[in-house]
Amino acid sequence: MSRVVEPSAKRYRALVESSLGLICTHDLAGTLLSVNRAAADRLGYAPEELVGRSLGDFLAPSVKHLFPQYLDRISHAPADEGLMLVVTRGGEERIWTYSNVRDQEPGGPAYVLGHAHDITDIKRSDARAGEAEALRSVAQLALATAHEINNPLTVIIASLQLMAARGQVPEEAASYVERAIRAGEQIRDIVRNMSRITRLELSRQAPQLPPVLDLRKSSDG
Amino acid sequence: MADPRILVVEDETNVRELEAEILREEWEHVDTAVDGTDALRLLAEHVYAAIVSDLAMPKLDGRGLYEEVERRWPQAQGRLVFVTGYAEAEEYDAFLRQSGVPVVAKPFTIADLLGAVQRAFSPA
Repeated sequence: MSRVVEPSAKRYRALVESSLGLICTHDLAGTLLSVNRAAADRLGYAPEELVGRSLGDFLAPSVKHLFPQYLDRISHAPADEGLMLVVTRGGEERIWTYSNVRDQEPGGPAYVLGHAHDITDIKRSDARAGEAEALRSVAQLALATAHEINNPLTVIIASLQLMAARGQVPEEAASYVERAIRAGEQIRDIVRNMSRITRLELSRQAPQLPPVLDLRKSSDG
Repeated sequence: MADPRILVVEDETNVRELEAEILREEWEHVDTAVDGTDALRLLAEHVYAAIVSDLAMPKLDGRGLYEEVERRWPQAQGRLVFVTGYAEAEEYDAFLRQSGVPVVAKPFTIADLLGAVQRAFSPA
């Protein structure tokens, strides 16, 4: 029996050690009992530096206060999952999605088997896409506004010019009309610059198509 | 053309009336149309020395008007001038480049508008 179990346990240990998934075990107080290479690497430590320390030590300050609640949940429920914000040795905050289960070997204390994935890059990419979308909406709004401003501005500038050209402006009012025309032209220049910038921004943000994998071409080749 | 007739096509009432008034300072016969469809009706009745048209309009826009003029009165095509805002010109960029129709940008000055119409009388 032991001859059969032992190689199997070794295989599992090797699987955990070589897994790219972030795996650890901790007791119900949160003290790390084991950490695989991938998880330790992500945090910037060697596995042996982490064992014996509290998982809570590696949480970002902004979420540290939630750690007791997590321990309480996993102590009372068989499993817990969610997002955790960890801090690496270098001080970088990373987002991990975790799915942890509580286990207990016969006669032994209960412990938690934790499995996580680092989704920081995906989350940041989503955030950047959201920001780009918001910027795009603002740019489109700016263009629509420019369009709406142009027509009444045309009427203001050209009407004043027409009055002046026809000699309909009393001498004492001429400087005011001239000033109003100049102000209108200033607005015109602002709107044109704004439109140029927003058009540039919109073209810069035009969605890029992913490269096409042409199977026919590769099979022909 | 001794007594040239000019057509102004613009859906914005204030802009349309203003353009017509400015042009009447120089030329006696200036007609107005509220969109491209209205313009086609007048084009069927008169010969115009210049057609000053907005681009973005309901029913039939400036591009549609250009295509209809090209189809029905090809000799009048070179007399077209578009008056448009910088913003709306974007969606018409390719068309404007391809057609080569002169464009007066809103907001224009009196000199801009009169100069463009004068050039439409005698296209290069």
